[in-house]
Amino acid sequence: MKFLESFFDRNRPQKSNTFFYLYEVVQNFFFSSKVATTGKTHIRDRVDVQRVMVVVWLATFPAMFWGMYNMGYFGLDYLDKGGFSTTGDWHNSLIQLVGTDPSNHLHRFWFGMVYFVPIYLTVFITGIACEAIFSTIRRHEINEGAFVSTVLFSLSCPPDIPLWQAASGIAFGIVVGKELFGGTGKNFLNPALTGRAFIYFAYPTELSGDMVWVAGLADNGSIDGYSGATALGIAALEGMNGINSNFTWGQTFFGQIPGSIGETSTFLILLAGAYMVYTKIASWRIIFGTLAGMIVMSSALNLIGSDTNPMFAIPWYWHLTIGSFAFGLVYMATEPVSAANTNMGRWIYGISIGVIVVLIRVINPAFPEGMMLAILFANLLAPAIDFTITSLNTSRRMERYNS
Amino acid sequence: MKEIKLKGGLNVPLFGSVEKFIVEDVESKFIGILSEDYFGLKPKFLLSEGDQVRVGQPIIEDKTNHGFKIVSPVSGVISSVNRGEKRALISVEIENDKKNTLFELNISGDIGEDLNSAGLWDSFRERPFDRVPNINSKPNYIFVNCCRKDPLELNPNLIISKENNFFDLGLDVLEELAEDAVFLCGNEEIETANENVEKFLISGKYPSGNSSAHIYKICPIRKSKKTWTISWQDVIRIGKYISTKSYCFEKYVSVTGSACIEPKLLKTVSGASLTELTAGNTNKESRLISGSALYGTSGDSYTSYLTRYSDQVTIISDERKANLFNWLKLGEKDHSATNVFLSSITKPEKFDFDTNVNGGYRAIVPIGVFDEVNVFDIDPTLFLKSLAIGDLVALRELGIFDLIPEDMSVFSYVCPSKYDYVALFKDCIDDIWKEENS
Repeated sequence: MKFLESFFDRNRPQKSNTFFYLYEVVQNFFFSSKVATTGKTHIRDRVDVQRVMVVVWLATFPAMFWGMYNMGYFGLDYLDKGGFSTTGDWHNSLIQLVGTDPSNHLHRFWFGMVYFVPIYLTVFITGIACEAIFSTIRRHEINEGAFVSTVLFSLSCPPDIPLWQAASGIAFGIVVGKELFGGTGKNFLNPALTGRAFIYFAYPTELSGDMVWVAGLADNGSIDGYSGATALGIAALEGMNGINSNFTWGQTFFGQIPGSIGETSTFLILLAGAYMVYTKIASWRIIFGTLAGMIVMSSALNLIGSDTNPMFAIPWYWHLTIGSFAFGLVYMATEPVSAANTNMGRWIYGISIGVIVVLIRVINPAFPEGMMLAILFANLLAPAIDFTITSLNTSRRMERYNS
Repeated sequence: MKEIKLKGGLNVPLFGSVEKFIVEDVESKFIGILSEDYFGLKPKFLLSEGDQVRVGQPIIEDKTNHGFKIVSPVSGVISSVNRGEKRALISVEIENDKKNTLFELNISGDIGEDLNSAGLWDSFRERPFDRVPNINSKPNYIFVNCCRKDPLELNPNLIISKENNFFDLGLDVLEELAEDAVFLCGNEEIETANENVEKFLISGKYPSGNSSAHIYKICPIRKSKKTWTISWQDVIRIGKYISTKSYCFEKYVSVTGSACIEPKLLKTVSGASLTELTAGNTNKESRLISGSALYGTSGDSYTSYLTRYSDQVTIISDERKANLFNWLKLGEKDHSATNVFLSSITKPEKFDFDTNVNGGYRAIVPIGVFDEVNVFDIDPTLFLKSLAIGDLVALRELGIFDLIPEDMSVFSYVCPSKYDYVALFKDCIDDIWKEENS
């Protein structure tokens, strides 16, 4: 490894060089920096942005691996029930390499991998390329935030998403959600969610409905007595009765439901959340604020009740486990840059996400999934929240100072 | 006696603290006066390079602060006057002839004049700019800082209780000078015969020893009230001056740090050369810092002297190495304000530090550590972002007048994006000073 180190040392470009920032991020991937502190603070914390992003990236692993297994579970189950021998597209030849026994754990996992890995690879390469090209042209540092954006975006996709759509989504997220405003640290929207919202509205037929949540379903078509709908989708139509006849709460909590790749297991997501809160990378204020907002709002709607809208009756502990609430809560809402920047603001930001998500899920007739939009709305609110909180501080100070 | 507990802050546990009160005298051959210690200084030279100088002889007069003079702490020859960009003064170096010939001490009866001619007027600094006040002005409040600012330096209380008489005499002078009150802030109860000063017991993590934290808790800064600060060391020096009626430039200095072979307490003269103070006390390639590792000045050959307001020298290792796949490192020996490393579970008592930045420079990613280590009355993330973009209007409102550069060092330490907020703060407060004084 001495060879590699001296290779990097020998080829270090000037800062004026076009490829300086590209060099810097690649070198940082292999070796930590040897740059000495200047100025008055001579020692620095060992944490850097790279490590922060790696912690989040590692925290997605439980959801990612469960997502792959779960995709295989539902995909193979569907093939078996329908009596199909093939998933109907290019995935099939790879799946056949291992097998399609619906009760075999390995086969399930392999099935999920065959679907997930191409999505992640596509998203990763596109996302990193967009970040690198944009940053090189704009002459600013390349941020490891793109690692996190790409993995979160991939996990928020439905299993059957066409790869080109995934690529266009992440490109939009990175470029429009982040780079146009100066890159990670200056974005006012969560880049992964911006991309997800883009494909959600750009390709609604492929990305919503009942057909996209189980791999292979869209190609082979539906079969009698089989529903590929998510718990949230069922709830929007049939309310609690509908959910209860399809899933138990335990199934939704531990993740034996169809859905976007990473969102299914609330349990594993909350574990990852606990890890991120322990490491202080995610703000516990945002997480508990969001939970509080969701619980209060959904309980209020339970009390109000409605004869025509079955969603009013869904209690908070179902809101927690169905749809992408938990995924958004732990991975998306806690994104520090687009969230509020003051401690008080983080509470308010969290609560507003919790309230808006229930409003969108229950009262809005068009989309049952509200977490994505709730977080994006709260991103837009965050500067106003911070402004209000700070003006309390500043007006108190200026009054005292001028007295 | 009131207790003040400051929330927030951060303990940065380095190796190499001074524990025993054993004083070693060190005479320094070279002495430096650094212009960065004096905010807004526009020097007018009373002597020039090559001139003979006596103890207490004025060398520089500040054109922007009428009457204030910087004097020589030793006798000898002005060996060089170093200038930087646009011929701005960097430092004045004096070669000590060790003869100790005295300049005539002028005692008129006016406190300001007398302290100025004794070279002690710069003990005081006035908020908001942390600048030496005008010699004819009187403060409303004086904050005496007796806290252990950095955990490595010797507990000042040990020295204060030994020099008790002088400390009391010094407090009497402050008492006479201050129109409203003198506040005495220490980590432990400070023994003093003076009953008029208001005592405060401060507890909290770094940087709760900084005067800014005491000021905002005890008596926040107002435009109509003048607030001055002074450190315990200078109070003792003023006391010595009053009792002996002669110059006092001696200073207690803790030599500390993880690359220091034997941490110890020295008694030397103000402005002593760092290389001489640390000679033979380090065996690594190391960095000499006047001040603590978190806030201190490490000079080049022109400025490697004890700065005016520090009573500590820190030596830390300057050997930096690159780790392969650093982002996978468990980090059982790595200190962090976050809990991302294994060290958050194994909890070693102390850590070894080097001068590595430990990461690449990135845009600010406010993960919440700023709020956690903040002990001041500011919204740190917004404040630091305003510093980064140099928004002077916002900074005035967000509280830049309540703070001084040393308060920023804890934020520089924890910043995952590796910003240097101390430098940014300096730039911003310089610009504000220029706006208000032109």
